[in-house]
Amino acid sequence: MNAKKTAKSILALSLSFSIVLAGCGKNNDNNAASSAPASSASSSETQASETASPSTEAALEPVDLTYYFPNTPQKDLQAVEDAVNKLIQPKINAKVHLKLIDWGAYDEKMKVINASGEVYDLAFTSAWTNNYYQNVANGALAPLDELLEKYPDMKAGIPDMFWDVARVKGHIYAVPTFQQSTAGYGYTIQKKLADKYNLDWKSVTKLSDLTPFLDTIKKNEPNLIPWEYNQNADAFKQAPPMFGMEALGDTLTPGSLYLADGSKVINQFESPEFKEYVTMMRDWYTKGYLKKEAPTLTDTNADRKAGKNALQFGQIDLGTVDYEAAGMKSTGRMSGFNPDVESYDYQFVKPLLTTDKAAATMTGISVNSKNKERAMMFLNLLHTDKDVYNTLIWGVEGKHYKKVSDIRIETIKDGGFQIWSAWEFGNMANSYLSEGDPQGNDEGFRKMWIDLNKNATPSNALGFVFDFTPVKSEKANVDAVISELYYALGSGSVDPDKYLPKFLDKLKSAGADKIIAEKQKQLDEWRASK
Amino acid sequence: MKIQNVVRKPIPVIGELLRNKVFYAMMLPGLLYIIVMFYLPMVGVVIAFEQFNPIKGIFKSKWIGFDNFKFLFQSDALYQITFNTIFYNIIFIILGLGLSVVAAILINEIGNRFLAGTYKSILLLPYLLSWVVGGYLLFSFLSIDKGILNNLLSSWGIEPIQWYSEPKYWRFILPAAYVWKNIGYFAVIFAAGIAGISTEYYEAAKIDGATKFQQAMKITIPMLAPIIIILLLLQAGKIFYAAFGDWGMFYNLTKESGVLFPTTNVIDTHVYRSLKTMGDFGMSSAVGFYQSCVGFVLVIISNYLIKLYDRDSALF
Amino acid sequence: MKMRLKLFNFSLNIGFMVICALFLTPLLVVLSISLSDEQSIFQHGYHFFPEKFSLDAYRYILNGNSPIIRAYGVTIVVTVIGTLLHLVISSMFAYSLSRPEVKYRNIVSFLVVFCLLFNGGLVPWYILLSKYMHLKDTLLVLFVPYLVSSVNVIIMRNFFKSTVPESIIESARIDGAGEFYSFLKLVVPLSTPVLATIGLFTAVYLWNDWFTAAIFIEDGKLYTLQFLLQSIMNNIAYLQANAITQKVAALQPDETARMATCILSIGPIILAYPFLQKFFVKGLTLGSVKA
Repeated sequence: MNAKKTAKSILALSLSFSIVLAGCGKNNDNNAASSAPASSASSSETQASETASPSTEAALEPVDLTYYFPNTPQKDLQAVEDAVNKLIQPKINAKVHLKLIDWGAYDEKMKVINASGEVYDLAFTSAWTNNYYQNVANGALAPLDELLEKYPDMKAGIPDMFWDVARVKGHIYAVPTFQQSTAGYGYTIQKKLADKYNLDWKSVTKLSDLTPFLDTIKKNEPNLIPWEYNQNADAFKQAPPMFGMEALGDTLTPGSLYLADGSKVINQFESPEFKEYVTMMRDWYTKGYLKKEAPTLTDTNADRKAGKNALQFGQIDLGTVDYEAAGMKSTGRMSGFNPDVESYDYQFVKPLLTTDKAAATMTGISVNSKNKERAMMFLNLLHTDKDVYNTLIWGVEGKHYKKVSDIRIETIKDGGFQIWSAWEFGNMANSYLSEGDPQGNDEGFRKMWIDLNKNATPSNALGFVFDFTPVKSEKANVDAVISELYYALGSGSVDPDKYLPKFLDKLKSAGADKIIAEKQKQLDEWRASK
Repeated sequence: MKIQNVVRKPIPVIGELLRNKVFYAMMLPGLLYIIVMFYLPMVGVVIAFEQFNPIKGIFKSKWIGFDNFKFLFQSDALYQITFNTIFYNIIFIILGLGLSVVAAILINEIGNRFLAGTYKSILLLPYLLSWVVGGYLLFSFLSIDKGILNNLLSSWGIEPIQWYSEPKYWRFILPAAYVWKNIGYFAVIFAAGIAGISTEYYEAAKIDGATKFQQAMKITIPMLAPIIIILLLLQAGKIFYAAFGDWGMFYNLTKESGVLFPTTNVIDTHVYRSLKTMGDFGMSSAVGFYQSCVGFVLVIISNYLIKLYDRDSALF
Repeated sequence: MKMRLKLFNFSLNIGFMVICALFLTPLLVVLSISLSDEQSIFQHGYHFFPEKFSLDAYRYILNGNSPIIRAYGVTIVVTVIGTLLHLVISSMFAYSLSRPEVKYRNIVSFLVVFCLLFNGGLVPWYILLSKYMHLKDTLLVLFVPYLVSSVNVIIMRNFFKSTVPESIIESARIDGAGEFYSFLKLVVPLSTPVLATIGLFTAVYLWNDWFTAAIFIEDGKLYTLQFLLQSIMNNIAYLQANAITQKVAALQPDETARMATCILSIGPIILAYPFLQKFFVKGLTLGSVKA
């Protein structure tokens, strides 16, 4: 039963999915209100000019648009669709049909929809689901360059770096969503413990500086787990910049760049940094800082809920220090699972904007769409018209949310529409703030994440995408080796003296060198074409 | 039999169709169904030989011959996964069919119909659960610090066992799990078979003074033999599919622990791990095609052998 | 002799009770977890009986945004219609393949086995059902793909071969009955055990299938129970993984809810099983009387 097999892989996908989202998690800490690029006044001007220009050319025929995006199924989706249509119909004479697809099913579903040549207009596409670059390579998405020229406001609302990432061989095939996309790294520590044992949590500059802290916890807090580890909280996998490197795509596929160099592709597993990391982890594991079953865990939600983790790795975009500097009360928590466990969040690796992060949320127009222009008009409204945007994100006022102030709302729990996904659409700078966002200095908070995006350090290979088709056999075998041995090494549950050489040997015989050579070749070509 | 001797029609096909028109009419919906639903999509096997591009479609994608098969045969794990797949499948067939025949016969012996029905239902219950839930359940027993088994062991003063990093135990855990989940399925089939055996046989045997055991060996099992053989043959076609296609078992129960691979890695889990980041339709079709071919050859051979022994039990 | 038989029966019952207890314990754990307070599980691990009783998991699932009653309805309709059609088409198919006078039965049997071994994969299947048959987003798509299964046809064929006495068919023929009439009035009643078995497997498959809905269904009104429960679990995972929503989702049950969905989905089958069984047993005796 092939269907059954696929079902299994979807399931696994939906499991691995929480990871991807967890990855986005911390970025989305920053949900902001009214727009930075377009103040409310200018945005209404845009609307006016936008609606005016097409209508002067010719009256628009009524059309229907189909829009696929992943989310959690909502009872009241129809009401939201109607509300959005009521807003957009007078402006662009179009009706949009919202095709909300379950998170876990989206990727597989879009594959078959694209493969069968089904007609639709808009779809969420990204580096992690409904893969943008594969869609472009397969010709599933329409080039948008000419259409984009008609909507300068939408284009200006998004920094050029993001457009560069969406550009493949000179053409843009999707409109990036403007949301907080950079990634800085560090660690979090339970506030109560740091205070109790007087740990100098701001003094840390690298992971190994944490050893004395972990030691203190281990000795004094027998009920706690000093260092959280699971397959998705592995520092080397999640944060190559912490080791002075950046990945070219998937972080565990052999072939990375040193940040300082940026041109020569190296095998990150052969680097002294990796050896140092696994040796340190071995030390931590044997001293009992990690759970015994660490290498097999894919999540540690149970420990998070129980507040058992003392210290953990973290993607920290804005740390406790940043909030304090901005005069805000830091809202650090070890995890969202247990609001009682407060934390200090400390960033010691500066934010970097990589291809994967910049291409994490985009919207494309299908090559089969019969109404590409109208689809672009709708996208433009999503990016520039606050009413349309906020209706799609938060639903109907009074039914799905209550307004608290001009820019702040409170969602209604049993209203039937709660998607919490401002980051998935349009320009998040237009979004209302909700009860999930920190209170207090709203303006400052909003500016902080927008600035992060604007001032982010671009990666050396921002916009480069590795095409593994020429080495797909090698890639497949290397992936199998990595899932066999990587986590055992990364968690320190096996002796690196014995297993690291074994791991490297297996990678070699699986064809790691060929992948690295191919990456180098593609990177050189990409650079030359730039 | 009489009818078959009358072979004098000029066009035998039409003659046959007319002669048994009622049977062919009954066959028609099912036959049409499998042609449309199963055979038409079978053109998709060409994907295994293509660099499949969804937009270009099945017929226009680039033909790359056997490139999609390469990764599997180049893999260092080929021996390990082939051995484990066949090893477990053979154990599963023997245990699964053997124990469920025994269970079905014994249940049939129970006088109280209500109790017999209850036992059958309970044995069938695990079949209703998915392996995802199965994985959670097993973990609730084997978890190092929270697990029920380790709690028991330590209360008896025995050192807890790190189940998820000790490959040797899994040669027993996996078959036990398979039996737990599937024995009810087979037992229900066999029970239906036993229900169909005419009571006259048993009554005659009782008059001859045969014991229950003798009755089982001389009547029940021979009467069940055709269905046992059919199930064996159907399983043989899936011999290269871990757990006969239901490989979620290997994936969910072992929690993907790399240390356990020597005893838990099978073709499907290996392929899943190899392809999960790429999601290449062509490569996964290639593996499926290879698995099917092996099963096909095996089915043809064993069907031929069975035909020699008993014409009626063969698949075709 | 009688004494021994009684003893045999007694020990048999004891044996089965032990085995059934072993089979039930894991399910008891599922039930226990679903009824536990989530925090107590994280603190104290799994137990056969809830350490701290809580209905939160069920409350969360039943009060969610999702129309669960409707999903039960859709699933029941799909399961009943699908199973009945499956039985009708497959039993006729299998019976015609079991008749020795049908000359092409082996060729067709081969065709049936062959498509068990080979399939074209997901993409062509999807194209066929959505593009050519236009079944996407309809109730039909939930059971139409599963009206015939090679395994079931082969199993049924063999049952017909071995359990339907040739003499009955012959005598019916002599009485002038048509082949279809004999099938309906003689073969079907005689074969209730196998029809019930195949019917049960088909029903279980349709009941548990969520993949088809995941691929073909976009209209929320047509969600099946399993797909809906799957979505709820994804929903929890998603809310908890996303920093904006974490605070809202923090207190929502996860592991307990997973087990509760499991209980909610298999519960009806367990409850319905004794009734079905009674019905089948009745059919069985009825069949033998008629024959």
